[in-house]
Amino acid sequence: MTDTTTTGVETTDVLVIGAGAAGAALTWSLSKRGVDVLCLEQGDWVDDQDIPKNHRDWEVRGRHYWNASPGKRRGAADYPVTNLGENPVDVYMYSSVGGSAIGYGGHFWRFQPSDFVAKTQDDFGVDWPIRYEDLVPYYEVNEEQLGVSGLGGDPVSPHRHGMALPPVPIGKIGNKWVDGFDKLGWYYWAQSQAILSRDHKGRPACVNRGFCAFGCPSGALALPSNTYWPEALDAGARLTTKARVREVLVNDAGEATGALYYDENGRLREVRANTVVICGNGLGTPRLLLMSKSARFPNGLANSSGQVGKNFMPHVQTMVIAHFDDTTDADHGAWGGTVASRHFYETDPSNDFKRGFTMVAMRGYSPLNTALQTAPWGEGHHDALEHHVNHEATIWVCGDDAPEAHNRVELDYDDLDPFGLPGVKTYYTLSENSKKLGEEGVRRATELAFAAGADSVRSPGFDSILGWHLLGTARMGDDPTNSVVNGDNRAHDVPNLYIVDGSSFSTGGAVNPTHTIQALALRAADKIWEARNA
Amino acid sequence: MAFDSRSDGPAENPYAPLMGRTYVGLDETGDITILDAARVRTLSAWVGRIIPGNENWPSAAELDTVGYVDAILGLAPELRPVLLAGIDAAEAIARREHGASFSEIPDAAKTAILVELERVEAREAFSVILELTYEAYYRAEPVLAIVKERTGFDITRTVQGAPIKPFDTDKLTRVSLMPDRYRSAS
Repeated sequence: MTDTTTTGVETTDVLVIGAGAAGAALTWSLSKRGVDVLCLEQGDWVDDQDIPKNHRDWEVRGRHYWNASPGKRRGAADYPVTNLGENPVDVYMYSSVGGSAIGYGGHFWRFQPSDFVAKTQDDFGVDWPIRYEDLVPYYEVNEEQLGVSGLGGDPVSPHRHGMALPPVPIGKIGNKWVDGFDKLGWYYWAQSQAILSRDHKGRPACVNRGFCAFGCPSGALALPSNTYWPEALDAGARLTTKARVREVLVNDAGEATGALYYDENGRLREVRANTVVICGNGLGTPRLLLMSKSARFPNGLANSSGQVGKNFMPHVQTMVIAHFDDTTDADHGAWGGTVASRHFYETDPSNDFKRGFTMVAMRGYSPLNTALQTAPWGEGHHDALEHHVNHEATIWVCGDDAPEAHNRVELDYDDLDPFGLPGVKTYYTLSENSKKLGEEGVRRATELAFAAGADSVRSPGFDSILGWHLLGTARMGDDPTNSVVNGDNRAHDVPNLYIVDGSSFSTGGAVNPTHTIQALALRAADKIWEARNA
Repeated sequence: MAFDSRSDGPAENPYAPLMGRTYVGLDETGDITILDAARVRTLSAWVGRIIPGNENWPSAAELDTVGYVDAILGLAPELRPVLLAGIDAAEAIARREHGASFSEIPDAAKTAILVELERVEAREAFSVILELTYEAYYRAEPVLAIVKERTGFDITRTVQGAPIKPFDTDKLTRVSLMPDRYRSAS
């Protein structure tokens, strides 16, 4: 990429690009050890007054400036995203201090041991170069740091491990789901959540406002901005917001030397660093790598394998929304989940598909969203609304999708960001395995709904894939010819470049990825520390 | 996202890429600045058929829906050609088929014209006006009060919270006695 005049040069020991879940955890871990860390974030801190749930019209705010889709939000920190393929992914992400976690629900799972060896056990995808046990110490740190609520004793959790805090209340609808699971005899357990059931480390317990994706005014929902970042900044880390990185720089030896970025005034600046860590999420990371072309790396940085941008995995996601004759208390309670089931998580040889899915038993929708989904215009509007509002609850289905090269993200030079940098195109088509797995997920969720007392269900299906989980596009592996980073999250091609976010997942498991993203980040911080002290 | 989208909108929604910069605060609607008086009458009649009133609920026309649409148009001039053409199309059809202004014809005739607009004549305009009407309606305090009264859903709880009894974890006893159910990696 051609250079232009830069304004000033900053230096740091470790440069972190992206202040989301991974960037925050990694910066915290290194800065607590006295490492000089500078983080560049293209978004900004979220102002309290901009949190929709601080206002009674939060539903409308959530559709406008807080919209999870960058294609609708189109804020100053966003870049264009166009979603293509037979099952286009409705990509959801935020650029902010906290990254996309500012709009998450706080489901907080560990992966299962089998998730790391799906190729060996099921001939599915690829194996990870690390194992569940490698992440356990980091899962534990993360659970304590964030104050994860849940309960030990789950027979589906390895060694029935515990959580930092007791489970959050499940309320009326949660008890309906419990009844349903018990009728069916299925495994289920209290949903582990990054939501405080008790006061923890200066943050207050959740008061059950619900609809957590629209922002948590109290801070009971664990975010990078109220957990890792305050401690990291106290330890001396530097965080520059509204800084859009254009390119990671390399020297003739093929080492990363820093980055070029546009500051909040649009001036081009350079940062020089000994180590560079990219934490830009499953779209932003491959975008930056592919933009960082040079004579030494003509196909993009760290892309000798050709795998950068490939193997895009958003999970096989949909919802089954159950209707009950009784009311569901949809207006309060942590929205992310009450209880959840991994009964169908592992491969069952009697199925015609491999791997499995999670079912998370959640709450219902709010009036505007319900109206948009269910209430026709005209005379039938009010009857439909009254039928659905506060009489529904949702089962979210999340299934494992295999890495496939044709599911990918690419640069889009036809749709540029405000700095003239390319946007992103995503391509996604469900595999036959994913279709069968998804159909079974809907069938089982429907079975649960009726067992819990529902009188009808509805589902959006798979025409558009819910796009919270952006995984696999700079994957981890032992073989440099078919992976981008090694088991330490270090790029095969660039010895002092690390990539830590959902892009480094080899396979995606069938649960929300944030906990594993942060565990990987904490582990990568240890690996960076060990490498420089070796 | 999936839980805030219409399932049957047009393939190309001109409102979608403008949503991020078109938030209008509750105190930011007031004088009509974009629409002329004739179009205000037409649009008011239009939104009144999108969400009609009954003995329990107000119609969208009784609220500040037109003011909301006008404020959105002020923030997003790109929408003006689409919406103004849609409003004008409704008026033209009413005059052609009924010899009167859209706002003056019977409700059934208005509805028939809107069906035609939604299907063929002004799909994009219809979709945008529908979404804006729903937004304006379900953020209005009188409507939120009726939502609470009629469905039990209390928006106040969503911003202030409400107590819930702690999870009775004894309910998990059955499952806790079941054998381990995960595969080890070794």
